[in-house]
Amino acid sequence: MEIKEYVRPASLDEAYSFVVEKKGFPLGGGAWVHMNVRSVDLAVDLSALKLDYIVDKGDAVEIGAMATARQIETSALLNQAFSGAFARATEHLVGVQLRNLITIGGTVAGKYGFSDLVTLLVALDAKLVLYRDKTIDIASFLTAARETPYLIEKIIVAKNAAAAFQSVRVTQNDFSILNAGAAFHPGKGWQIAVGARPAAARLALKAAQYLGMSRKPDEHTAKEAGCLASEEISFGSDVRGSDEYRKLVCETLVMRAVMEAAK
Amino acid sequence: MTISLKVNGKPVKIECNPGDVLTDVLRNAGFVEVKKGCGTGNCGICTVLLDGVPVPSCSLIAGRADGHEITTIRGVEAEAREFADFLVAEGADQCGFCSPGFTLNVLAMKKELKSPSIDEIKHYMAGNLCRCTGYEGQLRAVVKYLEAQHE
Repeated sequence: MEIKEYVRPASLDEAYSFVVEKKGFPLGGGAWVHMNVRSVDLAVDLSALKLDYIVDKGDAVEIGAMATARQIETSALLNQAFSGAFARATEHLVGVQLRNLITIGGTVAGKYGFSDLVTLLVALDAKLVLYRDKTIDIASFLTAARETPYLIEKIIVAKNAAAAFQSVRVTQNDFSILNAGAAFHPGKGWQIAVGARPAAARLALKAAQYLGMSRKPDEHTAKEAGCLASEEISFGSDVRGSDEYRKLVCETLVMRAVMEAAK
Repeated sequence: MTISLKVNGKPVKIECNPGDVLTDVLRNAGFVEVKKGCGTGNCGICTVLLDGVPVPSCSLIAGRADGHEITTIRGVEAEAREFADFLVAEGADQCGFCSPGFTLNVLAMKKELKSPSIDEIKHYMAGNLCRCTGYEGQLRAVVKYLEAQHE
């Protein structure tokens, strides 16, 4: 990427001014920026904003937009609260070195189809806090086209959900051929997400509705939810797998995610 | 722009485009011990330590290194030599092109993980590819090196 002017603001207000008012290009982890051939007038490095935190807020965990994939993978707080699901959804991402660069904010903003983490966040109904703007649930953020620039401050995940993440891949450090996240939210029911379709994660609403308020569905019910998910979700083909393959795998991945979250 | 950083403990100022990747910027400034491999962050050959944390310098835009401390293999010469003896003893040195990045990641792992299992070592080193060794020799060298640290 050719960058004409580079700034590293020290406050969120300053960053907001550069990104939202002056329409600068925000640099999250920046790990894939060098493969981008575009030229930008103003690049805004967000690394000095102290947004690399993962903190316990009692009933929720707040993850700063600049927390890295490696921080999330190794966070005792996140992995105790969600039975290791965050480690499962980050540990396959290339190598430790790249995971030390990649940030949750950049991953979410990129709406990357291959992302494991985004799928888990959708299942967990994570809230995206846009600085001096609205707070939006991540599933809506992924589907809504947004014309105006924004600055992601943090992601909030309620701690009361029981979650699990499943994926299938050719090698340990390749992107998923398909991934699935399932979470039971007390009082609300299930939320199921399927990603790497190869497009970004989408909710399987019929599958979740079928499971209803059942906290511990049996294997047959979980399998039926998997079948419903594979029917309602759309799949595509790419170098990693065909749409037919993904559709078949979806049944089992969703079933496994539900059974694991139900434990 | 001019970036000011410490490389192996010494202050350095380098003129660059902020969008250049750190591998190229360091090599152009004479730090040719930083090798360039895949250029996509996948192979680990270009690994340097950014404030002590291993990162692929091919995927780090140079502007971000401004004000930070970079360690290349030359900055850890004594430890690297010690580990190299274990690599050579296991016949895992071969062409040596991946060794600087591999060694820096081993040293980072040694700091981060206490007595890692074989699976934990494999997981930590998964971002370091080698086209020569088939990995078994490298793994033996890492295990023996870490054991030797406890003796």
